[in-house]
Amino acid sequence: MAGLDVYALAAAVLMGLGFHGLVTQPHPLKRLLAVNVFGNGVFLALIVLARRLPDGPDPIPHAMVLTGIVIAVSATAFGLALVRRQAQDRERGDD
Amino acid sequence: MTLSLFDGLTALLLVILAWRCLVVPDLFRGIVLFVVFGLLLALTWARLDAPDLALAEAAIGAGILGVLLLGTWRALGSPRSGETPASSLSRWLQIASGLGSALLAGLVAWALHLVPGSEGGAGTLAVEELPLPATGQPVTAVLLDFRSYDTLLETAVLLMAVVGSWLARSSLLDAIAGNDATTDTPVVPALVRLFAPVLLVVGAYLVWAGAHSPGGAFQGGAVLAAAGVLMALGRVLGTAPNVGWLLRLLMVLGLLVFISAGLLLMPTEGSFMAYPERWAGLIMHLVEYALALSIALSLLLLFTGAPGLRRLG
Amino acid sequence: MTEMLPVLAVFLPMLGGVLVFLLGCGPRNAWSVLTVMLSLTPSLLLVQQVAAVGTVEHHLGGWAPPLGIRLMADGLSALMILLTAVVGGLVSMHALGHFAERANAARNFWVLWPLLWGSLNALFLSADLFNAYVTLELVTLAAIPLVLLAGSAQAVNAALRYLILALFGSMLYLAGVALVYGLIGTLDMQLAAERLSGAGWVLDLAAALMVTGLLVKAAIVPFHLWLPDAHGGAPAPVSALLSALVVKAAVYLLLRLWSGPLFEPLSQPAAAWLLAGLGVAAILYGSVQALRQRRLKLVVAYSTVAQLGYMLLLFPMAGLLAWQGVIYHGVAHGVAKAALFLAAGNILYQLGHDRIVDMRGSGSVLAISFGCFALAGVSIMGLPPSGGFLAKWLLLQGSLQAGAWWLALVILAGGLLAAGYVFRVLRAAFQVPDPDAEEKLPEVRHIGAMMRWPMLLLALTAIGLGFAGEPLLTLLGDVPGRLG
Repeated sequence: MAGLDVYALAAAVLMGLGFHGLVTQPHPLKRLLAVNVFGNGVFLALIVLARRLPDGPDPIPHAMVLTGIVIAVSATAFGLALVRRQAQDRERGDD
Repeated sequence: MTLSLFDGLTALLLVILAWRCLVVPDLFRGIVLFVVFGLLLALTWARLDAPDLALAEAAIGAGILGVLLLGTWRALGSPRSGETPASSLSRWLQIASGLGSALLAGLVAWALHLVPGSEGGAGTLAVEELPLPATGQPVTAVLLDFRSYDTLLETAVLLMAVVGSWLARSSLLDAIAGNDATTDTPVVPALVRLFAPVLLVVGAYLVWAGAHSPGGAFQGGAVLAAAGVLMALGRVLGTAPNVGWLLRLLMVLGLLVFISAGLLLMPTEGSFMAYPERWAGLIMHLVEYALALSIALSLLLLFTGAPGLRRLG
Repeated sequence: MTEMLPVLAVFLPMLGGVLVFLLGCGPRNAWSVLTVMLSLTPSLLLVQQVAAVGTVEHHLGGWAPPLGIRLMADGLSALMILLTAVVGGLVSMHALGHFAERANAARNFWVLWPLLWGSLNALFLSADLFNAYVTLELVTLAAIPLVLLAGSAQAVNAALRYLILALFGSMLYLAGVALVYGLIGTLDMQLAAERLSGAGWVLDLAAALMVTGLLVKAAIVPFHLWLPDAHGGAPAPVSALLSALVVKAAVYLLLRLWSGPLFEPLSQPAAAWLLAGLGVAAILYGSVQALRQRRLKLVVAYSTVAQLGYMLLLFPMAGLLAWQGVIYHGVAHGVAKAALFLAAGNILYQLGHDRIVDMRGSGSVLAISFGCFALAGVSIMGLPPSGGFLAKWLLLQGSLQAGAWWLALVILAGGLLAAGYVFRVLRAAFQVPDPDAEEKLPEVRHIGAMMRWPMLLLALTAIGLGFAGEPLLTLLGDVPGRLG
């Protein structure tokens, strides 16, 4: 098991990186990426925990992560539409 | 020991990719690094006994999201948005944020090390109950039976994201609706003719296979959407400024079938989304296909950024 | 029938939204009105059932927890669903008038708002930690596009900021849920409350992650930066829904967790006082900012920042009176704030602007709108007789009972500051114009009954809540969980 705990460590570091990116990056697209990195850290943590069940991987965290991925991608896609719109508004403002 | 070397390298590479993608000043490189990060994550899921997630991550997380990110990068267009500005925070605040993040990571890592895992809880039950429901695959059983309510609600999230993206479209864009985001090389249409049918078949297979092996509505839907994206790039599909009723119906088909099946059977079965044993398999397959269609269309519409679609040639 | 009501309260509104998505608002708004009926009926029936027989539960898919998800309507859920029905129903009526001339915006509103309604009910009924995450995301992703209906660049900026923070907030919450699931292997809130005792510092960390995520979502100072732009820039009915209901959804979940699985970590004095400290900061900062704003809608929006702070004062007091006071404050503020935003929206529509300095003398012309603003303002200030007074009275008693006299001082100071920003608006409006400038009374546009009555009814309800304490607090019942 000890060999696999590196993923738990990676999950924690991804969360830290995502948080730092969100605080320090000014560009909205970068901030969206940072939140996604943080989210992927959370997902990785869930999957690491799922493996600690002795009778095989726990399907519930797997389902949670699948749901989480769809929600995060939906929200990010909407965020990207807003980023595009913001850029257009800015260009129009410059004209 | 070879495996733990592999694990160590994968984990290290995940961290490095995430770090680089957030700090490189060039937006394009950041996006590419993020997509590579997503693909490595898919590999990680496969390594950690989560093949369902590996498929979903590759198709949705890295695939569709990557295409969306690159599309946005193109739309940002102007040269000055290529380089993202450096942080406006003062040096001390940045250091404080770094220390805070390190503290967060340390605490979470230590907690994850201590947490025992969920023995005897819902997970054990889910594995034990498995022979009963019509779906033989544990993750699909959780998604479509034990916790189908979450799955239903997340479909609504996707619908809201599409409506939100339509609202985010500036009215200015409608004036240049003919301006589809496509490449003009002759290679692309040829590739489309070659790959789009393959993707359609693979997508349909994944939905069907979800009952007994990795796959399901979300993975299949994302692959179907990828076929649509290819067709849009190859000018087989174009954007239209308005949504037809058929398109609207397809978009909410999954939601409608899912909710109606639950509500119609509720009086006889006693609870929402409980299905009679004889029909459960059929109903779940029906729900899966309807969901996959709606998911595919919604993801495709998120990519084209326009409310409607039309056939070009 | 009774056990089906929670399901219907979630999905009938959502089906209404899908109906409008497919068919539009219908001839003379027939489908929109049908949607409101579809949403109101199960909500009100459910509240009536809870009042009659107590907690109503539904095991989804026939699976009992920990395997399945449970819907649960107890007194707290019922009260929030009732608030959503009353505010939502009246704001819906206003929206029929407000969007009458904007067919496109109307259609989008009537797709998103019923979806939001169903999502709010889903959150209030959720008894599962992960399902609560899904419903929180539903609420957020239905609410943010509504902000965009204003169509301005400012609205786009606010929406993007809100989205990024909200997404981060829910991921923080989910990180906490992951740790809880790792500790005990269940997501059901009640089972979690039973199994989590003595879980040590990992539970503390989980609680910190979940609570921080919810504070980000609820726009508690210092995470409030997006709120004034979003709430102040959206169309009036949207502002009313966001301020009265949506930000409260995250606070609701915080209170639900406090009374359940997170009771132990949040009852430690350090955590309780930290949260109350944030509440105090929100009250003082939000009120002072509200006093300084030049535009009416921004005054109302900053007032929301302040009023949310009161709900965090619960934690160090932690008694029945404080519990009742905090929930009643949530309800009273919801109704009063919806009335304030509709009044501000009507004033903006009638005058063509909402600059406070240029409102001089308009009070006599717009007597009804400013009258409603004043009535709802009474409740916000906490003067008798009003819902706000009853809530503050309970909170004051609760704080004295808990020996936290300085919280009582903060509550009183918050009321004084609220009086300051409400009277500042009213003074500008009812200032007698200079006699030599008498002909310059502002020209105003007429508003129809559809936009006038909801505002009036909400303002009267805000006052009426001062007399409705008995039945509503009986419906709320005791603190669920251990405190009892």
